[in-house]
Formats: sequence, structure tokens, C-alpha cells
Amino acid sequence: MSKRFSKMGWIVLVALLCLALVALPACTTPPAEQEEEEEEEISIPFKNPNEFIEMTIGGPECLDPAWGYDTASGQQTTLIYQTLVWWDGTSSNVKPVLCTDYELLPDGVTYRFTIREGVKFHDGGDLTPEDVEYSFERTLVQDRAGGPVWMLDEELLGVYDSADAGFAAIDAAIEVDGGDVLITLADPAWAIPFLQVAAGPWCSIVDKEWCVANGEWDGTEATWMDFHNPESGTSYLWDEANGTGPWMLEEWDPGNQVKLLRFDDYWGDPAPFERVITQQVDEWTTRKLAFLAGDVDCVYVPLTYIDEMDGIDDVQLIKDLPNLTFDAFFMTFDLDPTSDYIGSGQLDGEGIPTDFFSDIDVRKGMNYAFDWVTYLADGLSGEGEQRGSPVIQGLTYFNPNAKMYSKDLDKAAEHFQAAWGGEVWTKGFKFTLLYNSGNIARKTACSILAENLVKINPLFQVQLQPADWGTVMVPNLVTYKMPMFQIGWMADYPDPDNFVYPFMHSTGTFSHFQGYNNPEVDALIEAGKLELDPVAREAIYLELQDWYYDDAPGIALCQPFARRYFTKYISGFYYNPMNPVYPGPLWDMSKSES
Amino acid sequence: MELRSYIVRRLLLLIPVLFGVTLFIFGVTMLFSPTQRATLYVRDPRQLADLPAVIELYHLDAPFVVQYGSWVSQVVTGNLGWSRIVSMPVWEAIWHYLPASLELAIFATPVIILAGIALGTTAAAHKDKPADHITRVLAIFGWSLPTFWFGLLLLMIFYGLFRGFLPPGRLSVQMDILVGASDFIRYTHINTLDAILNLNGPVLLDAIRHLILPVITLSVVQVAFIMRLMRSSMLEALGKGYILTAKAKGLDQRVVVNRHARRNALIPVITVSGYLFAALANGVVITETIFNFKGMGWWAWQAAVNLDIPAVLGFALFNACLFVLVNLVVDILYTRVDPRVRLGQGIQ
Amino acid sequence: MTDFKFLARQLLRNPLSLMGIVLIVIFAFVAIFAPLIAPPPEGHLNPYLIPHEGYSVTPRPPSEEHIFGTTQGQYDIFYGVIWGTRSAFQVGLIVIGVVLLAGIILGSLAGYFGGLVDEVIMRITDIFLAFPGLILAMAIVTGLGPSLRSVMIALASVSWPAYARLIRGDILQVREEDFIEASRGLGASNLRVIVRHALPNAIYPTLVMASLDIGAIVLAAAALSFLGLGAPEGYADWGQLTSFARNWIVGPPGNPLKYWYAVTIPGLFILLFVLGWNLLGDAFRDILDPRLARR
Repeated sequence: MSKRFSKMGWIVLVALLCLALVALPACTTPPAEQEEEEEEEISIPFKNPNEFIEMTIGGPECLDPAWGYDTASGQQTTLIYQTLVWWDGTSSNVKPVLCTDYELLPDGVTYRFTIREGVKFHDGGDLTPEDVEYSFERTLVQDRAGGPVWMLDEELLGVYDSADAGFAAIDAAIEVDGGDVLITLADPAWAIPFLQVAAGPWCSIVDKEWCVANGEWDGTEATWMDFHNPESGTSYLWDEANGTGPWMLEEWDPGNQVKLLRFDDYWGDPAPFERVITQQVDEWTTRKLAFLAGDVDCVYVPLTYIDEMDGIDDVQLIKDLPNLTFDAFFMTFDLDPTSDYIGSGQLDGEGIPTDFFSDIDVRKGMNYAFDWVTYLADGLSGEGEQRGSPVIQGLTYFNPNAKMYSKDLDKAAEHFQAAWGGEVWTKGFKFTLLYNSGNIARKTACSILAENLVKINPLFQVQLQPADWGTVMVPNLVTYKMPMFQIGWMADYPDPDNFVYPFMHSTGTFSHFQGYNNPEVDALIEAGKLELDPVAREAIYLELQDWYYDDAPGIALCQPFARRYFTKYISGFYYNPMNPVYPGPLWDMSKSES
Repeated sequence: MELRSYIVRRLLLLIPVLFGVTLFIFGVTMLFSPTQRATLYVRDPRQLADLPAVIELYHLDAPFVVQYGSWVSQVVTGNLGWSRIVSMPVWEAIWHYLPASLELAIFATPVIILAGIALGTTAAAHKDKPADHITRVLAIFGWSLPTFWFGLLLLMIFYGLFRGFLPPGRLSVQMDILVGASDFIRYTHINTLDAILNLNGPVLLDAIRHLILPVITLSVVQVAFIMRLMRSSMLEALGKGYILTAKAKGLDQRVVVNRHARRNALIPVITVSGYLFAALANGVVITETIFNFKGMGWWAWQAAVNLDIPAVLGFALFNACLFVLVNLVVDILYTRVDPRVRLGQGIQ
Repeated sequence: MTDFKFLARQLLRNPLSLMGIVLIVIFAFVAIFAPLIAPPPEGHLNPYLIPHEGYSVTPRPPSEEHIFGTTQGQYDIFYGVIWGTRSAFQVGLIVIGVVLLAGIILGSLAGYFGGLVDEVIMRITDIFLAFPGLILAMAIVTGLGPSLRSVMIALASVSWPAYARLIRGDILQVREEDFIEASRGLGASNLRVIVRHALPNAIYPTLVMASLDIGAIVLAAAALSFLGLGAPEGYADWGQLTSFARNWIVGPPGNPLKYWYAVTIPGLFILLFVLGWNLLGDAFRDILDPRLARR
């Protein structure tokens, strides 16, 4: 009797379990209605009064100011080291920091910086003009492949790689004159951009004696090639730091956190926090719980989850901060015939020919097929604005009334009917779009394009494929195998040339891999780079903005906005679009319970 | 066979295994083109133009034999290469991430073993009765549970709902500052051990507090193995002749189970404990990620998905050595525990 | 023959194994009739791609059109778990099938012939076993590009050594038995001896492990998906659905279990599937283990 029962019992149990699986969803409607009344007051406790703790994804590659090009490295460098000049509050001008004054000499290419006295390094040394000279020269000497030094190479030496200029040129570019440092530019056009570059972390000032004593380049011609383009990790400043900033390096635990400690002999106002701790936690849920538990003061919230942070009083949300970033969809003009993503490689409905996108009607058709409203709403959760060209808001000569495309499936159809002598419309096409796996904005952009194209003409077949950045996208990108790709650019310095070049010049970082080559545009860009007269310069950049619309080398996607999430205990945050420091200007911020 | 010569012979066998493992991994990585491997150094789209320079700098397009050869010659001189993802030499990365995994392993292994033994014994003693069924279903339930699901739920309840009671990470911020200060000496970087050695109570308690959730997560998932093993070896032991004799003599059931059967049943469990400890020390990726308890698992995972080849190779070497060592220790222990077994004979 | 009948009868008598069988049969039913239970919408090219309405990121609770709700990206969960049953069976059965085959062939060769063949094969398995499976699987999937196929290849590459070892061990035991000697004495070829005499007796422990492992394989595939190395987004695969759910496990502070359906439903499917195979495997073990006294 009991055995039969236990057998029956188990069968009944299993059946009940499966029934529950189906029945449970039916019971969920009541909780959804109760939700409105259950708005619980979530209070974030106040903890760690002397520390500023940030939890974010990713960590710095290194702490060497001349090496780091990623934002995480720059974030730490900006707190530990200082530069000659820095952005003045929220304005687009710079103010003196490690210098007391600067002036552009009448020759138009030489800057005189009067170096501040009484500044101490963390290790005890004093700031001298020789340190400034050494810092710039060391950066030019190191010039590692893939690093940020190309800006200084271009503006001070007029070349792309400092090895091409030779040591004499490096030496001559920066000279000490008493208590001043003279920096000579390669062209008068760099006068303003140089100040912007000089505010960047790559122009941080290091202590020459300390560097040399620890095995770094000794400043002479004899050894400079030994320190040129070194391998990762060989520089002493990789994981050791000695700057003049309000905080000094206490500990760097790669993968885990960076701890900075207040520098008591700082020349300026005392640092508001005894410690600044940046923790690396890639798991969103863990970060969120930590933020709500009061264990961190600032947290990185991925776009996808911004809704979850809504409605909590103790969260301080600052949004709509215009990021100096621009994202675009590129179309490749001259594809590699061995690409896996072009189907048959012919205009026969089963693929696309290698020069498919060289026809302007195809490109315009693609633009009209895109839907910015849905892209911004669903892909970016509303955090961005459409732009017509790489010259975005925050850059000089930004044209808020520039021509922009909008979704118009009829116009798209017209252009596709005209493309390639009508063959595109009758035969159709097929190709594959790759997007960074896990990147919702990019995936949404691809989905929108694919689904709208099919609506225009069912013969327009676009397949989507998620791909890993390193193993798939990059190798295909640099070999011209991707029919279309999405990439974004973040400002190095807030000059329109820094944006127009990578997106529109035939040798630009991105446009080069498109195969875009328009000699008129090239000429305009080159002229604009060196144009001194502001009126003439403005005309050039306005024309370039129109060019992006008229020639449509790609689909201009958007300028994303940034957000900051702090607890209510943090105050003093302000945002300067010229230099979006993350999380904020900590030296001017503070934390208190009231 | 003499113990010393046996150990030497086993350790010598390590070398061909190491060669085999590293050759195999190197072979797998060579399936990737130089461009793909160069993207480890070029993560930002702005640096795309510098790919050829990077390939040249790190000799990524040299033939397989040359690259493997140069790696081997480096290793022999003690240089395991540079782990790009954590910005430090590979050997240093191993030193850096091992303590966290060891700490988890040290705390989780006893919990898993003891729980497994207790559950297995109960199940065996009441074979085919409800207690047996329930215990087995519960254990299997735990094993079938996706780790990340269970872990995040625990975090939500004990950290979210209970207002920060059991937090993620290894130490709280204030304790971490204390540990980093000059008057606290980090002997092993295993926080609990260091706290004991420094006679520091608050740090010890804080470290333990941070260990509770990861250890529970790991245990619930792993206990099923031990339980099942214990159960079957207990059943085997209970069926032996001497047990029947003890019962015939009138000995209490509980004494029979606890004193006689269990001791013999423990043998295979001891064997498995070694592998369990090694597996945990190797790192448990998901638990380490969720609870921000970064150890070898996290590092190896990042290395694998970012194609940080020196790191992958270094991890493989470490793992192979650990595997061989654990095998050796277990085999020797086995002979101590079970006098019927002689060294050198096959143990299945 | 009688052995098999005995085995079947034992399985049905044991309540736990019965529960396991029932679960597996239910899932098989769902997998076979998936196109009827969750029909793909009109014009849908690949039934394994979950249909989605719109691109909005936040999951929506169960409603009339979406019985189990939708997950991140508005993918229908009901469709996903039903078709995911097919993916789960595919992954589990194909991987175990390949691994069994490889294990049987290599293990038999090693066990039966011994000597150099044995040494070489055993050293190769040593090399594979000396490396942590999950990491190797990750590297393989990264190299081949994330997809269900890569996951299967990776898991098969990582799992076969254990089976080869197991079969080898069993063949070694059986090799010395009298009936093997007898059939060789009668002039049977090596192949015949292996296939008709050695293997059938050696195979049972392997079956135990295989049935337990189907659950483990599906869990490992889900873990790989969780780490972003599984089936592509939008593919009907339980692991993929749970990876979507990863960041919705804890909802907004006032209602932390708000998105429970996105997390629990795919998770439950995985759990019950794995549970079913585990119970079956456990029962196999109890019945087939020669060391346990037969009732």
C-alpha cells in the first residue's frame, strides 16, 4: 500500500509542478496592479564619510600619462597628475594650473609658459621648468604605437611618428628659458588646439629627477631610441606614480580597484576627500545593490537599466550631458571580394557587388530607410540626439540647423529604384550586418535598417550577426570585408578637425577603412585644419557639414548623452562638455550627510 | 615501490604533460590570425590604424615554431610573459589572484565535504525510504541550479533586502584601508589567515562575513557529488561481511553506521576532496564575478575571451602542475588509508 | 535480453527514476510538437529565432499575447522556452553522442590493445584533463565565434577524455574474463570480440555517466551563454534566455522581484530538464552498480 502511494505520490507531484509552471503566470496580474501603491521609500544610508567611492566597469590599462589612451587610465591620471593648463569651470577656455601665466608670442608659433613656484611632487621633489621640458620630451620620445602622442607629434613636430622627426626636432620644440618654458608649434594654426591638447592627461607633468633615478629616459639624445615605442609594462610609470595632483597613488590592484590618498603638501586647496577609490565590478546587479546599500557614492549605470533607478529619492541623477562623442554607420565603398558578408558578390539578388555602396542613390536610400526616432527611443533609451554630421554640439562651428535625413520609405524607394540603373530594385540584394555582441544601441540600429529595407522591397535581404570586437569585427574591418559597420569617436580635444578627419578624410581613422575618397572633401579638411581666420574657418566647417549630408558616406547616427548617478550626499558636480571628466571634477566636489 | 622514487617518477612525468598542454593551447591560438591576436593590444577604435605596428612589435606574424620556441625559452628562464588584461607579468598575476581562490577553496571544501558526508550517510542509512528520496532530490536540485541565478538571488536577499548584511567583495572599504596600512602585514594575502597572523579580530570577522555568500553558493551546487559518492560507498560498506557480523552480535544500528561503515566509506570521499579543492583553487568564474571575489577563475576567463595568450598559457601551466600534484598527493594518501593498495599499481 | 527487461522494470519501480522518466518524456513531447505548441509567425524564416515586437529593452510581464511575458528586447519567453527544448535536446544528445562514440572507439583501442596505443591515447587524455574544461571551452568558442555549433564542438572536445578513460578501464577489467578468451580461442577477430563481447559488458557504467552528463552538458552550455559565449542573441536557447535575464534578477528597489518571469521560467525549464536526466542517471547507477546487492 505505502509503496504504491509513494509511486503515485511522485507522479502527482511532478504533474503538479508542471501545472504550476503554466498557472503561475496567470497569477501575476494582481501584483502588477499593486505595484503603484507599493512605492516603498528606499533610503540610501550614509557611509564612509571620508572616502569617495566609485563603482564602474573596466579598469585602467596603466598609470603612465604618456601611454594611456583609454578613459579609465585618463580618469586616474587626471587626479594624480596635473597639466600646464586646465578647463576653466564650465567654459570653453583654459586657465593656468601648473603655470601662472601663458602667452602666445608675436611669431604666432611659440608659447611662453611661466612655471608656478612652490609646487611639490608626491615624492617630495619640487616642480621646475626642467620637469616640464622633460615631461613633454619624454612623451614625444615614448610615442607608443596606438597611443595618444600623435596629437603632439602633429602639432609640435608636423609628423605622425616622432622617430621621423629626429631628436633634434624634439629637443628644439620645448626649451627652458629661466623660469619659463617655450613650446614651439609646427604651424600657427595649432595655436588654439594646442592649449586644448595641453589640458589632456597625455601632457601631465612628471618629475624628471624621480623618473631618471628610477630608470626612465635620462633626457639625452644618446639613449632616446631605447625608450621609443616600448612594449607594454616596461615603463617605470606603468604602475608607479608621482605627480603634483591633490591625490597620490596609494594602491593599484588591477582588476579590482585603484586607491588614491590625499596629498598633504598639495599646493592648491586641500583635497575634499581623504581617499578616492575606484572599484571595478562588471556585474550590473552587484553594482546596483552596492549603490543602494550606500557602499558607493557613484555608480555606472548602463543605458539599458536606467529605468530601474527612477523614482528613488536618494539617488542624484544628472542627465542630458552632451558627450563629445559621435556614432555613425559607415558604408564600405570598395569591398574585398573574399568577404563572407557580401553573399554572391554580384548584383543578382543573392549578394552585393564590391562597389555596391559607391552609388550615391544606394547611400541615400539607406539613409532614408533609417528611423532615428525608434533608434533613439529604443536603442539609446532616449539618451541622445540625431546629428547630421561629425561636427557635433560642443564643437566650434556646430550648425544646429544642418540638414539631416529622416525616415521616408517612399523617398528611399525612389533612390533604390534609381540605383545602378534600376537593377537594384528588380534584382534585390543580400548582405550581412555585424554588430558588437551585447551592444544594444548598435544591434537596434542594424535591426531597424534590416526591417525597414525589407518593407521597402522584399528582395532587400539583410541578415544580422552579433560579433566579437577583437576576433571578428576588427580583422574584417581592416581588410574591407564589412559592407557596413558602426563606430563611434570620442573627442581627444574639442576641435572640429578632431572629428571631421576620422570620419571624412580619405586617410582618416575610420573613413580610410571605408575606402571613402573625395578629393574635394580632402582639400577642404586640410584647409580647415590650418586656417587661421575664424570666419574662413567657419565657412569651411559649415560646408563640410553639408557635404556629409550631400555625399552621405554613411548614416550619421547620433550624439549620445551622458548621465551621472550619485547619491544625494555628493555635491559640487558640474559638467564641462569640453572635457567630460568621469565621474566629475572631484577636487571641487564634496560629500556630507546633510 | 619506494616512496621517494615513486614521487620523483611522477613529478618527472609532469614535463611531457606540460609540453603537451602548452603545445595544444598554442596550436589553438595559432588558429587566430595575427590581426585577431593584435586586437588584444588595440581595444579602442581610434587605434585601428596602428594594428600593423602592433603586429610587428609583438612578432605576431612569425611562424608557429618561432613563436612557441621563443615562448618556451622565456619560460625556462622564469619569464612567463605579460598578461595584457591585468597589466602585469603572468607569474605576478598568478600570485595576485591565487589567494582569493585559495581562500574560497579553504572555506568551501570543508563545508561541502561535511555536508556531503552528513547527507550521504543519512540517505544510505535510510535507503529507499522518504529520507533517502528527499535528500537525493534536494542535492540534485542544488546541483541543477544555475549558479548565477542562485548567487544573485542570495545577494538580493542578504545584501539588498537585509540592508547590506552580507556584502559582495572581499573586504569592506574601511577594513580594506586598514589592511593596506603599514601596520598590518599581509603575509599571504589570504585575508582570514592574515587577520589571524596579525591578531586582528575586526578584519577576520569582516573577511568571514564576505565569505559567507560565495561559500554557500558554491556548496549548494557541489554538495550533490559528495553526497552521492558517500551514499554509494556507504551502501557498499554496509553490505560487507563485518557489518553483518556486528549487527548479528547485537550492536546498536547507529554505532554500526557511524563507527564502522563510515570510516571505510570515507576513502573515496577523501580522494575526491583533493580534486574538489584543486577545482575550487583553480577558480570558479561565475561566483567570483557575481560576488566580486576576483581570483584565478576571473582572470582565466578574461584571458580566454580576450585572447590574452600569455595569460592563458600561464594559467594552463599552473593548472597542469596543480593537477599532477593533487593526483600525486591523493594517490599517496590512498595508500596510507587503505593498506591493501600498493604504490605503482593502477588505481581506478 | 533479460538484463534489459530487468533494467526497465527496476527503473519503473523506483519512484525517483520514474519521476525522471516522466520529466524527460514531457520535454521530448514538447520538443517534438514545438511547431504546434508555439507556431512561428507568418513569413518567419528561421523558427529558432524568437519573434520580437519592437526593440524596447525592458521585459514585460505575462499577458494575453505573451503567456510567459517577454524578456529583454521584447522576445517572447513562451516561444523561446518551447523551441529552446529542441535546442537543449540537440546540444545534449549530439554532444553526448559524439563523446560516447569518440570515447568508445579510443577507449576500446586503448584498453584492448594496450601497449604503445594505450600509452599514446592515455597521454593525450591526460593533456586534455590537465586543463580546466570551462576555460578551454571558452577559448574554443571565442575562436570559432559564439554559436550553438561552437558550443557543441567546445563541450565535446572537453568531455571526451573522461569517457575514453572510463571505457578503457572497463575493457581492461573485462578483457581477462573467460568468455573473451573463449571467443578468441574460437577464432573470432579482434573487432568482433570488442563489439560483440567486451563492449556490451563494459558499457553500463558508461551509460550511467552519459545520462548524468546530458544534464551537465546543458548546464555547461547555459553557463557559456551566461558568459556571452553561447547561442547568438534572440536564438531560442534556454541558456541564452537566462543570460538575457541576468540583469533583471533584481528589479527596481521597491519591487525587486518585478521581472521574476524573465528569470524564473527559463531557469525552471533548465532545472527540470537537468533534474529529469539526473534522476534517471542516479537510478541507472543504483540499479547497474554491480557492487550494490541486487534486491
